[in-house]
Amino acid sequence: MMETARVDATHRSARAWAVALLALLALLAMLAMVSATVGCSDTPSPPIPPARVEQSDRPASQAPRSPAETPSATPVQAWRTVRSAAGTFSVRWVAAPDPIPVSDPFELDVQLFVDPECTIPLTGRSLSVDAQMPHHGHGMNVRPSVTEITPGRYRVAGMLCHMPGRWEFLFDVTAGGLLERAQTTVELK
Amino acid sequence: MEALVLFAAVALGVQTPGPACGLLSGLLSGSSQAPSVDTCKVFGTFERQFDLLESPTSVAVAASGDWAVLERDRRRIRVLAPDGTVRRVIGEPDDSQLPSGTVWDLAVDPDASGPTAITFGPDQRLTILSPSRVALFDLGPTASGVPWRIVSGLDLGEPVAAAWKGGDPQTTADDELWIADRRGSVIVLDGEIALKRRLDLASGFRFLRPSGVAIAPDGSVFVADEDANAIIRLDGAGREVARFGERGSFPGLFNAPRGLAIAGQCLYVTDELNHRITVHDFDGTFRSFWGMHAVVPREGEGKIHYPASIAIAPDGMSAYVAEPLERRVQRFGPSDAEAAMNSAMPSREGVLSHFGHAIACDGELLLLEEPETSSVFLFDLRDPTPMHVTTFGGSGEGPDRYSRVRALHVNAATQMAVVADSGKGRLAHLRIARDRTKPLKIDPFMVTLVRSWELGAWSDRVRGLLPTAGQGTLEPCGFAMHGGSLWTLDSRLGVLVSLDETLAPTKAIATGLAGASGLTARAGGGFATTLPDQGEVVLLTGDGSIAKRIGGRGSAFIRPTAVASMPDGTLLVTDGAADRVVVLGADGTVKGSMGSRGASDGLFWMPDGIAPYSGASVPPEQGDVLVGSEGPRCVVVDRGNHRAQVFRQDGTWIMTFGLGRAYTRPRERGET
Repeated sequence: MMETARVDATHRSARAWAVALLALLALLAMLAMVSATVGCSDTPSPPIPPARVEQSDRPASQAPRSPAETPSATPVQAWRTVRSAAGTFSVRWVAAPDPIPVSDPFELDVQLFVDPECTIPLTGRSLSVDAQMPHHGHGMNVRPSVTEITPGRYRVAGMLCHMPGRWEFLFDVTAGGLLERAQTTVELK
Repeated sequence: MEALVLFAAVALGVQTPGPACGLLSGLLSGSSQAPSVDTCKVFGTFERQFDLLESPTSVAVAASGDWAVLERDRRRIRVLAPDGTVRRVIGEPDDSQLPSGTVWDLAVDPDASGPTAITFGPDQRLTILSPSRVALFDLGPTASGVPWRIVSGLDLGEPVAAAWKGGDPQTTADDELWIADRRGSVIVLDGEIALKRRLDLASGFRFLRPSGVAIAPDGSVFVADEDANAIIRLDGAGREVARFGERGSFPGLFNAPRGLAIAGQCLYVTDELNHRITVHDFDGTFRSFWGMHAVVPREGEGKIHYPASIAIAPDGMSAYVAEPLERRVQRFGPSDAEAAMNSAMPSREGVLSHFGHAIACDGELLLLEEPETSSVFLFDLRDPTPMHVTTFGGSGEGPDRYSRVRALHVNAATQMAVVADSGKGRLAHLRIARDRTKPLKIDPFMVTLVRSWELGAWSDRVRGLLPTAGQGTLEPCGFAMHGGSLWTLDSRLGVLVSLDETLAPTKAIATGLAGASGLTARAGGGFATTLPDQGEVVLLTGDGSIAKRIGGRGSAFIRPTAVASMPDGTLLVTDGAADRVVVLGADGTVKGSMGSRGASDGLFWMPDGIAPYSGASVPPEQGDVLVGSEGPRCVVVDRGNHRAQVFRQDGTWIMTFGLGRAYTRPRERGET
């Protein structure tokens, strides 16, 4: 009995340590997310699990990988926010994998909001996404596809930045024949 | 006879590759005729050049071998023998001394714009098209000079090319006249010149800007769509059966395809902004091309510059290519296809300042459009000479890419720009992130897109304010700040529109000035614009009503295309056909002009856009012929010379510049 009790106590102690460790990790993760979400004060939604891109002409090793599969990926995805040039909407986005790989496909999880704090979803719009390298005078060699997952939230598949350097990510939101753009700079190494 | 031929040739400015007399005599004595075309030929051998033609936009060849050219800016058609002998002039008499008795009246053309296209019919009568009229002339030796038939009251839009389909010369029952209407439709008339069909949006066709048409031997019809950079093949019933082409400079791609011609089983396309003629199978397969881009203005003799129209002689031994910007027609003979392509790679040197019509200047910012690449150049004017600091746009699919930029606006205080792109049907608002406290440098990130309207949706908004604005997409052709608001004028219907900060229409006024080009706010209030086809400058009041029309036929203007208002109320008007800038007083009185035709500094070759110049002054320097920049200045797009020039308002030349070059001392004559 005594021995059993000692074992249970040891187990309880180990579990307590494990729970404490997990809680600490979760806290760190939340802090990282909050710090990455510039301008948006709310808690971001969990990222959409990335879908595999059907590209029969690419080897399987070049298909987009989830953050867990990416050796160099940080454990916590970094949400980023950019306000449109006209100040009429906000884009909150995260890449998968993150950091964005060079010359490998990746996806974006994009959410549109009306306000700078990202509390009021912007719905009923169409979204197109592109990336350009103005220094080099070119964009991507692929055309990404955009799918609305839920109102105001989109999965952008088939992104591929084929060289390192300064890229400009362009989020074009259209309604009623009027397109407005949010643009942000991404440095790829 | 030889003397007469040579006289006519000299009058036309004919250039021959060899001794003129010998060649003309040889042609007169009857050159050998080759068999009909049955394979694809490449016409890469330069034969001769016909100069001093005033905007030759359309060329056609008759079965007899005689050919005709439409000089649009002079409202006349010349009919010539293959050797260049002028047989007839239909329309305005020639300025040069042609033999008497050759001039025919155009027979009271009701269209202010005059003829816009020509073609030969199955019966070999010359068909002359205007926006509302078709006239057929018999050119036979006994012809009286009276049109064989005239049909007026038609609605042909802007007919820029036409081709007859039909076979039996004895009857018109099966004949059809296919017409490319640049306003977005293909029109089919029957043999009696009555409307048979109109292929447009309403009938399920989406043509952006049809600019060429040709009929294949099997009865199928090819249409060149300039803005779509595509050739559309229609069957005899007018159904689309194939489409090929996309924008690019690589052989086989197009950059503004315009004129079409067919010989044998091959299609020939004038690829205007690629400066070449491309040859295709009827299924669209690229076969070959010829034509080297002329780098130095006026350079011809085989080099091609902005080809607009092509016609191939029935014997298949020569092709006539009309180049309106160079005011000439070149004739080419057959050549080896591979050799033609190998000799046709364009030089990149000296071809970077293809400034187009659109220009805007405010404070230290200057925008100039470049049609070849569909780009816009931003110049910083803080230094005495303009410094190119960024390029934005370019061809492509995105909303920040352009096709055919029609008008520009820039506001130095708010550092914003507006681009009206008629080709893609967009109205874009851009931000210029320029920090004048920092040193000048090239910055490819300087200009970013804020918003962009689809002009179709924008036009619907205008119709919400002005229900009489009609159907279709409006085309902003100029911008002006007036009363604290930005205004634009539509060239399609002449609707004057005020815009809010999002470029949404807030007020719309019908002016009736369809075909307008350019807009400026007059210093004393109101606006001014031009009507190129009518040869008029129009002054409007602040409420959009017409205050005064200046010009018209026989006046100081031939083809005014842009107007700028100077601080003292003076209006400066570019006249591309007259190669000058006309100076008007604030009340519209003609005060004088600046410039004339030429390549030296201070002279023009088809000047186009104009704007008040607000850059830094040029400091006086010892030895300068012309120094200082006191008083108001203007900047003029000298389109045909691939440059821009800055003048004082009194006409004194100050500076010539392009991309990466500028000088304030005049160069030797002929240098550009």
